[in-house]
Amino acid sequence: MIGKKIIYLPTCQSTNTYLASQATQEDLPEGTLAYTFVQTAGKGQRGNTWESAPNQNLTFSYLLLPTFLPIADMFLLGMVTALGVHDFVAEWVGKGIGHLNKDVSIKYPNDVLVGKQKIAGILIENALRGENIEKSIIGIGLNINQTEFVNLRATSLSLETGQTFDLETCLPTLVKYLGKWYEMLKEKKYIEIKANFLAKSFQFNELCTYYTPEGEIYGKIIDIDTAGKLHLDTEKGVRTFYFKEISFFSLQM
Amino acid sequence: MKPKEIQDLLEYIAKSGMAEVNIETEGLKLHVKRNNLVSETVVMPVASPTVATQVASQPQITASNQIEKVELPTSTTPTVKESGNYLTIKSPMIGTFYRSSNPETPAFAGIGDEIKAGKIVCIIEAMKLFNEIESEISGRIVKVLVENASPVEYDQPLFLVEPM
Repeated sequence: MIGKKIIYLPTCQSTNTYLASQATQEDLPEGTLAYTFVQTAGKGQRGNTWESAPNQNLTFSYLLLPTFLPIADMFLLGMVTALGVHDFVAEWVGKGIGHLNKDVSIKYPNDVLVGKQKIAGILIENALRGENIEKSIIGIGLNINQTEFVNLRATSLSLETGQTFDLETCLPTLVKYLGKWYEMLKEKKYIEIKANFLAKSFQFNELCTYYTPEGEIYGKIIDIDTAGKLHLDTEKGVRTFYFKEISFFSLQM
Repeated sequence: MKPKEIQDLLEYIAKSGMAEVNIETEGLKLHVKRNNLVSETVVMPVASPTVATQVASQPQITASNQIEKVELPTSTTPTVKESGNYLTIKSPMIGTFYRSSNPETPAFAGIGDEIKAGKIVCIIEAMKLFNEIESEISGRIVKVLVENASPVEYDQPLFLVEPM
């Protein structure tokens, strides 16, 4: 379903911005996907950028119409997207040379890590009207063949496996994983989705140190709910945090 | 008194609904009188020229030695009576309220703007999910009720809209 209609852009500032603007101009079918191998002004989180060397990585966006999803459970969209990317990366990492014991995980809220390094970023932009999600633009940047990064916390499939990949074949495979998880969302298999997301979550159920507004806290992540709140079991009981309120001590430089 | 402090004070007075306020400090005499939608603000620097310069540097309050009349932005002059006729655009979710799509771009909607149903008025971000909020009503925005980049609750009013 994802990739039902495909728009190839030889170059593009941001596939998310492009697709969002196309979607307001015409009735695009759900699953419409726009991709480029040369993204010049990729967007990350608010005001941040996503840097990607030309012709080395996947940068694409697709349109979903999850009108069935209650706003309160919106984080499930982030979960299914991260799971799709995770599964694709996990399929390759481990087959390669040298890095056999690195875990592929999802760092709350939705980065995909290999070990402690980020391999993919996800940007989800929804249009809400009243109590409904009208449209959702899912943007993914996945590092494939790039081997040099300014950011020391970045990695790529090539760095992790020692192989070079054909981008044109990677895209449909990744899209298949993303589609599989999104179908589960449409079938409302929320419990199954959440259980899988938790099982793949970085430091899930491990006693670790976190930075929070209350200072450093030692505890373990016991839940991430469908609204996106993180539940941390600490000495003082279970505390809930929103993204931005909590950061991972183990990922500080 | 710094220009920003004067501005904050004016906003506070406007919100309070007080009809008339007199404030006297060492460097400044402030007299604010509400006159329906226009507040008359008189800023009189007293004996301290530095205060006057500071005040003058604030574009909204161009006080010098003469008495000025300052029209407060409509946003700061709500009255209980009028708000009854206004509609509100509320937050459909918990998150962080943003008035523009990123820090460099202009706000989606500001005071005085006419909006139609379907128009994007703000972004609410939660857990890195960015949600453009479309208005369900049409009208003119008379007040933005939440500061940019501040947290909002479910159902919290974000904009006051005058139906047209």
